[in-house]
Amino acid sequence: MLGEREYLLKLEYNLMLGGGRWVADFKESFWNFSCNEVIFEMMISGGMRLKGFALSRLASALLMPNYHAACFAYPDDPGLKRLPIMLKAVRRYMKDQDIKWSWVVIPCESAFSPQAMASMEKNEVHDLGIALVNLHTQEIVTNRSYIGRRMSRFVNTFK
Amino acid sequence: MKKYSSFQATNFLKSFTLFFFGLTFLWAAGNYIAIRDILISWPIFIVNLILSIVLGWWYYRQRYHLVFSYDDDGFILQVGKKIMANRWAEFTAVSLFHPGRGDLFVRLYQNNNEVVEIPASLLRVHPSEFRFEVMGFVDKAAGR
Repeated sequence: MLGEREYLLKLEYNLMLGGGRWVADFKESFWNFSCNEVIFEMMISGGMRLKGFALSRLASALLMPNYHAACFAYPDDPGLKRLPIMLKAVRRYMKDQDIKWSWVVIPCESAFSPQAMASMEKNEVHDLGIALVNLHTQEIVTNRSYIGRRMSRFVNTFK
Repeated sequence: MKKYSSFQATNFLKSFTLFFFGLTFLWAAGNYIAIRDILISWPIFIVNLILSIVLGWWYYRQRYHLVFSYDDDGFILQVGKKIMANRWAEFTAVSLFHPGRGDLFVRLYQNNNEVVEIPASLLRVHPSEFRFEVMGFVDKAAGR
């Protein structure tokens, strides 16, 4: 089983250098990131304009909106007790930095409570994708928004 | 003090190519002006090659060669002839930065939001582990 730190390192690699590049150009990663009085284990920021060579760069400049995006992660919250405070901090940061959408990843070595899973499956907040990652069973539950549904394959970095 | 130095083949090749084509052009232009013909022979080619390697190496050392040394107190980064010396205590935040092409840099933020970048991939240190080591130095220097 992957530990929380190993999982986050793999997630960081996947977003910055792996498959995550198909979603956004995640280019800068901070650990122990202090954000509006809470601390996230990891925060990766980036934009939607992908880099590339000549034609890819031109296509990206013409077709892609120049949004800012971010991925926040904090571990070990099986009951999602800290989630409201964390989401409030994320929302403030998004507003301050003009970030259009964000992912919040919560890896956990133990099982999430059934209430937490149920609340996540009902959550439809449109500009946030939230993923609960059970490192023991390798199960991923995301919220129902388009961003949330899309993130599950990119946060699946168990191998 | 730990010291890393790395030879960057791509940058050396860039310097070599610049001088190789530059010298070839100068030779051809000089010949044409002097004798209205261009002399081509194996000895000339070999002399051009040797000169390009020597000049390319000199230019590479002047412009691109990386030497990085550091300890608990600070670091010295030398890129070609440019030397940058800083103390860890001058920085407040550390990040891992990917400008593209798979190279990773450790970015250090100063209080005035100025940034210093250490090219971890080019120095052939493990970027992620090196980032945590640097975070440790910065935290220790800040008394955190």
